[in-house]
Amino acid sequence: MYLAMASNNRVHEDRWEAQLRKGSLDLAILAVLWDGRLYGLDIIRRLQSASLPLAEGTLYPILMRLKQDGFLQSAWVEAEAGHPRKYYWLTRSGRQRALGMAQSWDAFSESIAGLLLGMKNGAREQLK
Amino acid sequence: MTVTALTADQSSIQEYLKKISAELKGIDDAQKQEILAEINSHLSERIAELRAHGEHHPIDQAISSLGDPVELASQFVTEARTSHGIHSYAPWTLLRRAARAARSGTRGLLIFLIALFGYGFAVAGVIAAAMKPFVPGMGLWVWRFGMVWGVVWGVPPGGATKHELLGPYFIPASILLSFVFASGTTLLLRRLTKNLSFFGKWPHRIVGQNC
Repeated sequence: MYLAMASNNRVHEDRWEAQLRKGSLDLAILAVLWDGRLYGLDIIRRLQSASLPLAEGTLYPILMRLKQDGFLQSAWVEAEAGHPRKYYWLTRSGRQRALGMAQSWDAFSESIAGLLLGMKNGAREQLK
Repeated sequence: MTVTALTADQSSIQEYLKKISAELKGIDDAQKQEILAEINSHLSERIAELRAHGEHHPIDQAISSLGDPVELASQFVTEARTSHGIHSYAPWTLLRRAARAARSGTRGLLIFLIALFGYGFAVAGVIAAAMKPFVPGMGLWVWRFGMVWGVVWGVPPGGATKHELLGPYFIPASILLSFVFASGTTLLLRRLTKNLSFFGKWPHRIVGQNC
């Protein structure tokens, strides 16, 4: 019974984390592209090095949508590797969007941090 | 690398791309080719990278990292549909987006009311034009009842002093007005719903930008 409950909690935690990551991906991708032009695999590596591992297949559909929404521009460039790479960069509207999302993110995380502070203090009191 | 290895790479990649292509339903051909070219480029790069690291099954590994082709294709289709929602000119799609926005706060509610009134007037204009042959009293009336006066697009109140302004031009004027309301509302909604807030107002829903 305990094992079943623990496993159920784990599933909920995983689902919540997956949703959280999914919801933040657009912002993370726009942020990674802030400094310049990158191709798909490069974006994945940058996200990984920022401790945001991403399933490789997840990136390309999002890039396609962001481009269709006018936030990204892209071009094929012949690479030394022998095959062309598709490079992406932020458009003017993409930069505005990234800044707007960053503001929303700050306000959101500030609200949550405020709630968590109360929760953590309460938990500390209970442990005493 | 030998020619045989290159051929094996290509055939596995082609097979994977074929499966994706078959599932990219509702995506136009140019877009489809673009998607397949990008996946192909990704796989080639990953295979070369894995091979350089001395991996034993670089092709299988590169393909499995990208995931199931059917699942990958369905992600492309879903994202393309989401994006279509933003770029759509269809009043029904825009009205649905406005209805969703109404739940996010005051600004969203205002957008929804604009949508409701804008499209409501457009529909009313068409109905008025269609009714004119059967209800001759239908028109653009200026009426006065004692000290009270007003303008009405339709049938004026009984017993009032009234004057009709459009006469035989009522039907074309109604249709023109409907068109102006419908297209104006559509353009305004596209603009207003494009940059809706990332998270919306409380209660927060953790969804992507196209919520």
